[in-house]
Amino acid sequence: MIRSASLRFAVLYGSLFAASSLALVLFFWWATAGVLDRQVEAAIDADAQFLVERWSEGGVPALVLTVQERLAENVDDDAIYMLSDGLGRRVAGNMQRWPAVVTEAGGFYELRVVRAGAQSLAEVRQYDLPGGFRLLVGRDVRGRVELRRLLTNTLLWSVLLVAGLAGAGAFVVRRLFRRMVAEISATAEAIAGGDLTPRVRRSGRGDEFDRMAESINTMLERIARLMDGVRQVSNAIAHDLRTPITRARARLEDAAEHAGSEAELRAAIERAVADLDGVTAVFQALLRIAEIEAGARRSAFADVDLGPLLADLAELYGALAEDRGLVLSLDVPDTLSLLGDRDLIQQAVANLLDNAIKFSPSGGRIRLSGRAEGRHLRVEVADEGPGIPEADRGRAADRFFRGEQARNTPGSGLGLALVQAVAMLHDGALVLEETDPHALNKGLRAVLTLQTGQAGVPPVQAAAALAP
Amino acid sequence: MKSALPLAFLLSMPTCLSHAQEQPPIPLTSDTAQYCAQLAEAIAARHSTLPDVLHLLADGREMCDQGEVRGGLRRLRRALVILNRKKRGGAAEPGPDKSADPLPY
Repeated sequence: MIRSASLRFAVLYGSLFAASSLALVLFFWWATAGVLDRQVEAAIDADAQFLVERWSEGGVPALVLTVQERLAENVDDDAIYMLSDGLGRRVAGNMQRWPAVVTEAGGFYELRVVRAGAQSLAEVRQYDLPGGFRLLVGRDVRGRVELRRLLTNTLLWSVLLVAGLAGAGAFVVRRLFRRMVAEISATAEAIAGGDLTPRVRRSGRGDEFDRMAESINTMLERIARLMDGVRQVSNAIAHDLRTPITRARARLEDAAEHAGSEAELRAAIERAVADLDGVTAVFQALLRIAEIEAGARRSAFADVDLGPLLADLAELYGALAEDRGLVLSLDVPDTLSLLGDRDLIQQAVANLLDNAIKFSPSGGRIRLSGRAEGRHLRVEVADEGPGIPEADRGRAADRFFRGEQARNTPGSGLGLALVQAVAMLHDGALVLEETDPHALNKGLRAVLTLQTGQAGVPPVQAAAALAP
Repeated sequence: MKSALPLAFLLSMPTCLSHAQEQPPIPLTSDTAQYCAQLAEAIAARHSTLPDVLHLLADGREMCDQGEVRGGLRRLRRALVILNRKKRGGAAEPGPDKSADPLPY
């Protein structure tokens, strides 16, 4: 078993090339030299058939006369005949004696003959006649043999040439394959060594290897992004949780050393518990996002009407907005059906409204709207707040991402991450954009798109129903 | 590379060639000076006046006399083919019947 794939490919290529070329050469030989053989045999058979007919018509004298005529008119000087009687004596023909090797009718024999002092080759066949007579009919095939030899020599040289070309081709294929694999192998080794930056180089020809390199590079980009995300999340967890834990510790320590009464001590403990509750809430949010991303909740999908749901949310957050001096308007049809998780969608829209209220200046307006667009539902929350700089919008939904303007507002940086996870769970997306670039009151528009699915049918069954 | 040539020769030979190599070659009697002379006599006996026939007959005889038997025979055979074609075509060609002057063999 060959353990080198490149060598296997090379051998396979060489073998296929040699086999196909050999088949071509054999066919060419059959179509040239083979045709010559068959032509001679056909001429001998036709000649013999005519002579046998003459025998049937006029007996020995007619056959002898025909043989004589044939020999006399044989301008090509290649005819060979012999008629012998029951005792083996020559009756007619141009052979001095009956060849000893020709013993039975049916097969073709090749003989050496002497013609005008020069040796030659002849192909003959015996035909048995009544009365013990035997007829030998043949042709001088020296010219044909020479031609066949020439053809065979040429074809054999061709075979050698083909073998050389197959070997050279196999060598080139092997080198090409090794070069391609070496590039991928070197990249993989570098990544295995801890360096995620190398990428497989593309030749620019757009061939299969280029497409494979592109796929590998896309995969590596994805892995690098995920690794980066994990690193960022780890850092963010360490950073964001250290502050409340440290604060809780400091309060407890301060209370233990300086509390003058039981009431002060109890108050310090309650504040520390509140800080630790915040930490727990962050962990719960992280776990919830992870659960949503795992898709486990998809099995709990049911028919949801977003019309009343959004109206309830508008009513709930409308009061909160009013307290902050904001106006929350609603533009939603009575019915917006989809197949999904009601609680998660409610949580996602609530997060968007919470952000809008949190970042809108007093007197600002917030607009909650929803509508159906083909197979999707589009829920928009637009505000007149500072918005998110374009450079940050791509990362705004990452876990723990906090923009510059959000540094001084309460929050964990997990709200939009959860919204995005809910959107992905419903085969949708979260898009953050400027409300209107030309308007006086610029703000942020968060667009949550959710796939409607097929109401009343679980997603798996719905997918099966749509399949052709 | 020259070793391929004998291999090619062997490949080009049919299996019964081995028989041919074991037996001494058999002489053919239709390429002899004697046959040439007999064929020339048979053609001359038909007293053709066709210029082509006369020309080929003279050339054939001369070549056979000079030892170029195969060349001479080829000319005489062409002369005979012309004569027979003329006869089969029905043209009146003076001369005795071919059966009166039989062909050799």
